[in-house]
Amino acid sequence: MAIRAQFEGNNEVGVFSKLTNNYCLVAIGGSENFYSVFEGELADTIPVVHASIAGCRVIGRMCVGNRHGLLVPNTTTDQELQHIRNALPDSVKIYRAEEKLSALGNVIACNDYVALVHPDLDRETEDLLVDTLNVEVFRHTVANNVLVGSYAVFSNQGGMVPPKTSVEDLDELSSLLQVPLVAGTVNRGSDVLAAGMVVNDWMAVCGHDTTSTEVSVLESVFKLSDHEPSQIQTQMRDSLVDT
Amino acid sequence: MEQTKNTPGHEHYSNQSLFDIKVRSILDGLDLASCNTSSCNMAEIETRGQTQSVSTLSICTDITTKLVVSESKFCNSCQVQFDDREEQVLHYKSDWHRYNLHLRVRGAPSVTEDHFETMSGDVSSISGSDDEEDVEEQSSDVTEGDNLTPLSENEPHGSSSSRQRESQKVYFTNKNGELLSVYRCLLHHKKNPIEETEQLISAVTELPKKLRWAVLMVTCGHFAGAIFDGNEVLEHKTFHRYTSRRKRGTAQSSFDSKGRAAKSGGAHLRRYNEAALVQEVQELLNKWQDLLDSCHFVFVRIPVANRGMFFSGKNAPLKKDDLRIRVIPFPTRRPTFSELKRVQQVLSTVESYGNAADVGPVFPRSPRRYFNKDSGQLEIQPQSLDAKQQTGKVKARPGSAKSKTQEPSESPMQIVPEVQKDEEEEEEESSLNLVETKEEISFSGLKEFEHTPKKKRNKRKEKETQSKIEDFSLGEREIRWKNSLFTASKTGNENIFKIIVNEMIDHHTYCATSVENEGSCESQSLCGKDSSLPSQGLVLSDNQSLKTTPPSQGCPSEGNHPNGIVLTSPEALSGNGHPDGSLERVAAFFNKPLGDGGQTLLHVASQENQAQVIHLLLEHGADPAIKDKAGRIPYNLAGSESRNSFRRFMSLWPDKYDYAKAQEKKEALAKEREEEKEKERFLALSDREKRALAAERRILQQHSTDNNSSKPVLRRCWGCAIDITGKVPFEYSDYKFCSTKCLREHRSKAK
Repeated sequence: MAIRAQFEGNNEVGVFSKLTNNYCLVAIGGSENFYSVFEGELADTIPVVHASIAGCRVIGRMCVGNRHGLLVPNTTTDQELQHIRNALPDSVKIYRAEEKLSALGNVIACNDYVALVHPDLDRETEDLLVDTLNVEVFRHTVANNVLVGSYAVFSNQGGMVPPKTSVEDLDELSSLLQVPLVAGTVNRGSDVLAAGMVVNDWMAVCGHDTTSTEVSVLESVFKLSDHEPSQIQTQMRDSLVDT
Repeated sequence: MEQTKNTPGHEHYSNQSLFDIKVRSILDGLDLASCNTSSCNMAEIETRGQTQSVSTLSICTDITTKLVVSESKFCNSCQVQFDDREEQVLHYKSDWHRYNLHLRVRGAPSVTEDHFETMSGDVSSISGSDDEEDVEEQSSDVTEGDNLTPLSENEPHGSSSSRQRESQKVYFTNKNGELLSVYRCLLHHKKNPIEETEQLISAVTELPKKLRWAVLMVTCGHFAGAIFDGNEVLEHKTFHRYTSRRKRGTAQSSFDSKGRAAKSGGAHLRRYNEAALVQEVQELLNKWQDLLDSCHFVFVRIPVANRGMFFSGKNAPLKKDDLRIRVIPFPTRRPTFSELKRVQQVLSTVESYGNAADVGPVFPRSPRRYFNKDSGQLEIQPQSLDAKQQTGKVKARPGSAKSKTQEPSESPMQIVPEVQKDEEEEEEESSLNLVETKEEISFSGLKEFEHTPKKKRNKRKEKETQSKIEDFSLGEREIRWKNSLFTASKTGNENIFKIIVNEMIDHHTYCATSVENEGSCESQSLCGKDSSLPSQGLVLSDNQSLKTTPPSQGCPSEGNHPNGIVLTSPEALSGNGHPDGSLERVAAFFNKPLGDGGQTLLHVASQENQAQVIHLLLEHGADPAIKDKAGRIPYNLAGSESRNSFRRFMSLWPDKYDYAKAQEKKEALAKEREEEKEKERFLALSDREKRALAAERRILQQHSTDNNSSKPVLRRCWGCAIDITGKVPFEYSDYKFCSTKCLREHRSKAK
């Protein structure tokens, strides 16, 4: 299911959290409301960890990870790294990446198998991604934007790209990532998808402003709804709804 | 002048100055190019199919049909079809793909693989690691502000809004089909835009006649102004005044306007300079007034803070509503004369992009040009060369890179948070890897640090605990006796002293007899009954002892009665009534050292001058020869009064104690000390003196062996003339003395 949340009045939940199939990082905030949203949903299954990276709360944009590992920028302090290391399961590999594009979350989008990266990412970082996250790496753009990590979001089930993406690009990306993709928005029309939401294989959290239409789109593409779309939505739709 | 270069992508590019006569031939049969207007721009975007606006609602409705993984194996940016997944994956790692991605982001058409192979020599390095350098080069030493493709500027937003920001340039085609561009600011003022094509074209064709330009720039206390007529410079002047705050970088006036005006000397200096600069500029421009009035254009770069310099005041050199005043449409550097010339050159060029049909409907890109100061001309930079040249320049002036005109970035990559630009630093950092290691430290060979004072403290503690243990072994009763005896001897309370002494004697006699009469039920029961009340038990035991022992003179009948226990005569002390053991024990008790100082009760009493108590103590066997730790006998501590009591006791009982022993010991001690001091003095002597002393002694010995009677006097004290032969003398500057006293006297006399 998809949950709406806010971080201290800010709808960009993807900026302040990182959600994977194996762990969840949440920014240290003034109030615990945001944290408790994740805690309430995930505490039984995966660790939910308070974290900061390089003293910043924008952890979602700073780091990149999946169930195999976590990459943090080289600005991360030893203490923060140690804290994250202690909190995450031992199976998760954690590395600091010496990458000049230090906001790794903005330049890398990944699930457990593939990663889409900024065309100018270092070769070394690419290797590190392969080793740490066990992913195939593709350099590409999304809707002519190099910040793939900010604009595209995908899980093992499906993915979303900004509405400006052409149909051909959507096809190409879909064949590349081997997940169904759809163009969509969050937070009432924001195309910065990864900043507006976080998703793993069984849940998604999006900003408070996200409309129900947007929620239904992301629930169907990320396969978060508990049941398959009914026939009314699929086959019978044409006869019932006049467009 | 004209230039044609073989830069890739700019094969047909050329520059033409407006001041050149040839330009008129180019500006013939002009027509607006298709890439100009916003509507055309939009249409172009649509036709290229680069973007697709899809409403979320429409996505929602047909989403379910779309949720499939695409089978198409096609790279849109490189236009290649793949046969299998492996090929596809490999392609996305290739440099060719990356290069095409960059081109696509810039809006340029992609290149084929063959083309890429041939040009890969020109593309110096496109690996991610080195790309930063490229970006730096592009931004550091670029002279052109218009390098950015106007398309990319207009592209991301504004497509929905009808009123679009106009391009800095206007594009035309001439009769030869060439695509030309001139700066829009040359054609019309911002406030009265020209819509009709005819008017624009006529404005362009008029341009070669409008040759008199003024260029004025002012920033941060720097002013530069010049008036050009074609390629000729009529007037030019530059000023500099120190007005902006060092390191912080804002003008003093703007800082003052925030409310808290600084009072420092620097602030005053800058305020004065600001005013002076305004005055100077206004005076200068008023001097140029006639020329300025004759100018066709006045190009300005004036920050808001400095507007007043030109537009306000009584004799404002420029008027706000003057339509000749145009803002320079690209970034400029620090106002200098060469910068003014560059601005004039850039503005006055008509750029030609070759055949309009070849260029297509996209905005053409200008190559990078730089201003040659020597020739005063703009030159196109050959791409393959510039990398080396510019890196050289950048390295030579590492700090200046930022102060230069930063070109608007060509790709949105810049949005990504930047890390340090210094490559060396980065390399250093990258070599810094954290390695987690486990080290085992053995604690087996540890030794306590020698100078730790702990050990000492421990010793003291041990002692304390030992003494405590002793105290406990003494038993409660004895501690009580000890304490009260101590206070008694300290305060001189005879009565209490006597009571306690009697208690002690009785107790000891009782103990002795009870041991003798072992098995007697009575005593046992009594003891058992009163063991909890020691004082009562004492009284009772007194009775017991009275019963069992023969009655004596001095024996007290009742412990509480003070008068009954007065022991005044020595006969009483040595009386038969008490068993010998009890008195001995009491004496032993008195002679025990009390505290850390090793003092006995006698010491305490004599220190406090308690003559009566001293007498009593001596009567009961307290030994006056016992020394404390400092080696003092009680007599040494006593005042004159208590000394008398000692002496009196000695006269009464000349044989009781070894009185002389104490004194002897004292003397021996004094001798020892003297000997030690002499040793010290001897050691302090120089070797020569030691030898002299040894010689003296030898002579002395010889004499003594020769004739026993007389000893030669080899040396006498300078002060008192005592014979100090064979002794280590006290001396100062060759004077030798028997004692320090003599020495001091002699010395004070000498002074």
